Amino acid sequence: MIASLVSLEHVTKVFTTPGGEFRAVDDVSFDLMPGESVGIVGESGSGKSTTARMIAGLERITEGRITFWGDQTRPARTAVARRAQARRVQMVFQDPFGSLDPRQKLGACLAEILAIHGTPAGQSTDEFARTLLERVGLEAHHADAYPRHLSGGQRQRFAIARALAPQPHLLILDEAVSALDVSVQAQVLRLLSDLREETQLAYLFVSHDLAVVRQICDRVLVMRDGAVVEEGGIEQVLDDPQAAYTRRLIESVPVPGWTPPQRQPR
Amino acid sequence: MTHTEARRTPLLSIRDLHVRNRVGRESVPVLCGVDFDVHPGEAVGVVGESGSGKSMTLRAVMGQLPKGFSSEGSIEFDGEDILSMRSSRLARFRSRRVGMIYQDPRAHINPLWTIGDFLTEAVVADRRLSRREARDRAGRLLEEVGFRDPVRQMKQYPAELSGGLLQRVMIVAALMPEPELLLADEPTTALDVTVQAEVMSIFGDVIRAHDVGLLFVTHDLDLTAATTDRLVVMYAGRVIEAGPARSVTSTPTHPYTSALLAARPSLTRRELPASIPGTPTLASSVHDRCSFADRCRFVEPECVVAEPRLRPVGAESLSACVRTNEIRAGLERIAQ
Amino acid sequence: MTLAGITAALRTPRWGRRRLRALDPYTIFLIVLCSALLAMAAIGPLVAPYPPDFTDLLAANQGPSPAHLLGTDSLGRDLLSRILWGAQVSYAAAALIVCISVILGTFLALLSSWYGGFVDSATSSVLNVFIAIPGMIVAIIAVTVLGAGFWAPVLAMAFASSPYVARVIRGTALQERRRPYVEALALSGVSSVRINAHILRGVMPIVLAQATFGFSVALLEFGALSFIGLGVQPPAAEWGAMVIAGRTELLAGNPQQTMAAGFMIVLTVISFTLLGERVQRMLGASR
Repeated sequence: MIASLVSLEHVTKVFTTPGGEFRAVDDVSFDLMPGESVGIVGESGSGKSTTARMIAGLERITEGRITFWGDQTRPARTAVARRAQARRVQMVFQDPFGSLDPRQKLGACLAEILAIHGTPAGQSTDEFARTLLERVGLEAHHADAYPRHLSGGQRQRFAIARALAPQPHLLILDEAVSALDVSVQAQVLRLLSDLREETQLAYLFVSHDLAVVRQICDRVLVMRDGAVVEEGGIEQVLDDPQAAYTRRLIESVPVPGWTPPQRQPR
Repeated sequence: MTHTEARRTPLLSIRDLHVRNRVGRESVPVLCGVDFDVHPGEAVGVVGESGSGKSMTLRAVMGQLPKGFSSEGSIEFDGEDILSMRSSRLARFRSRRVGMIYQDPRAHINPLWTIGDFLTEAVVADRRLSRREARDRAGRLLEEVGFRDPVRQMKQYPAELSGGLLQRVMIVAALMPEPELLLADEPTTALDVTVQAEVMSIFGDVIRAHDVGLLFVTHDLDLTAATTDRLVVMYAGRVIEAGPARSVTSTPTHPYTSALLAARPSLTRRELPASIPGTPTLASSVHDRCSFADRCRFVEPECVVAEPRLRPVGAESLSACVRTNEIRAGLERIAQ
Repeated sequence: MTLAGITAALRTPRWGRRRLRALDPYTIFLIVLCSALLAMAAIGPLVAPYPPDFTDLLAANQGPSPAHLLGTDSLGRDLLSRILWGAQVSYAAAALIVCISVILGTFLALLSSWYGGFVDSATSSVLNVFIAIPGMIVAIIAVTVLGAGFWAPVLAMAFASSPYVARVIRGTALQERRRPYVEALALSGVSSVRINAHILRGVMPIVLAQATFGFSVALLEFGALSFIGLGVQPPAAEWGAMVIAGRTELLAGNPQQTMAAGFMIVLTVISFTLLGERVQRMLGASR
């Protein structure tokens, strides 16, 4: 039996604030296989981002456990642990500008990461950096540019290049295309699809946009208020939703010929 | 839109609007010859990507162009040109005849006032209604937008309401002075998709019930198609297509509209959307050619000779594409 | 993590020629003025017409003349020379105080903001206690214990002002720390030290502004110490000491010593404060 890449077992996240406790993620369990592309959809407050962040190691788990290739993950405290974690999971964030240091040239950003993780056999840092840039559709001269010189789409592509630099097994995309114009979003989706074909990378695609998830993911989890409401193959869930909430979500998405559904009084 | 409605004089008439931004010693074009109308009771959607000039057009209509921006052309509202209004007249225009709904309701509501005070203050200060009358009107409008217990809910503070509810409050606030025109700048972009659907449904009901015109700016084609009568597509600071919403989205007359429709990811089938090569053109980089020529698959020598003007296509549409009649079938195929 | 790496990370890319050309005349004037003052301190002793302690009692208390451009003090020493020599002492003291307090304060701010939580609250509480104690008191105590002169007051004032600097920088450091790119860097496996080098570049505008303002404040306070006789001792030339020494002569109708030294202090403080304000506005506006 193939071992799962990531496995979540009864994972719960509770935030304690002065106002009380908030259960952001409630008893979530699922597996992600190597090379698989799984989507997590939900609206705000659904817990989808928090779940992704726990897998990335950016949030501590309150209850339950997350394992990578069977080894339980622990919050990375030492530099060594952080390096190992970086080679397992990488993330592309929603904000194409905020997630890059505005004062650092793109080439220097890649070099900094490659200095820690090394390059695939035979390639120098410069060569691999150039390879990464070209693979995401940027050009070698962009290495000398600053983030502010790039458009939103280009910045997001660079963010993908940066995420690929440590050669991770899993790429988490947290609303990575939500801030992009439609035509640019289409370019980035195509890039992500091509990348997956080339590299057998696994994706965890967090989004509120069901149509985007349909294009990129094999499986999908629908989350609401911290819990998984429905799970299954992408076609099955979107064409034949079982949960009422999933149905409501699908009905609310503007598609060709759509009209707003009947509203309920508040 | 019926024949009689089409003959009514427009509520808002934008003619040849040019907006430039003074940067240092240069003057950079931002809007180039924007032209369209909004009739009473009509909902017009303005669609475009970043840099298309859609938000700037809305700001021009409000008379709120940023410092350093100059304008030419005319924006006529009920016979008067907004661009040349004196500030006192402009203030009256903004407080009584037009209502604005912004993208982020929380940024435009005073968190220290109750909803009731927020809704009634402007209208009472303007001495158009007594406090009691204002509260009654607010209550009625709140009920119309779906609040079940307006009297109690008017005593709540903005922090107690969700984004969707707050946006409905904004709609009520915009309707309080009984304006003739509503302007909405991406009013549902920041909302969850289920909430968005509800708010859009309210928009539709409200403009029909109060017979106000609506100018609705968004980047979402399908959203506007569902809720507006007419669609205006903007690109590089220009209008490149205009027409009835359903026909623009099903049989576009301009390659950009067609490409934009094709770039949407589909909810029903797994087929990667076609991307448009290159990046959106800025208004400042277009000279004497079609603004979309560099990225268009139908480009021919005639497209780069001069800047195409918006010309009528059929009874109700306008297109800035010189080849529109030749390529119509191709455009429709791409958009499907 | 190497020193080279950290200095590379610190290299601010903003000061290109393009940016300098965009300065307005007022800022250029301030930069020229402050540079002139610093140059004066650097080469002053080389161009001074007389040694600073060359007494000539016959020429005492003279007004400006061709031989003594600023006049003389009560012991007949040339004021211009004493001003030029004194610049070195005053500026050196102020510069050292600023350097030490800014480096220490920035380090504390970065430490506090990086770890957050308990480390941050504990550090902030301790810093607040120290801020409550006026720097001058610390300096006076240090001098009383260790003896007057140059180093005791300089070090005392440097350590006394670093908590204040730390508190100011901590605010911006926290803001910078919360930006998404910091999280992205951590996720990429970059070490904490390197990430803080990134954050440091982000707070550079505030650090530079603090340094420029701090220079003026330090100059005034060191002068004040000399004023009350706890700083540099006579016959060494120092502006604050010269202001006090000229006090009696002022009343006797010979204001030149007090005025010359006093004017130089005021000029330096105003120039550097205004420059600091411009620097902060420019770097802040270009974010």
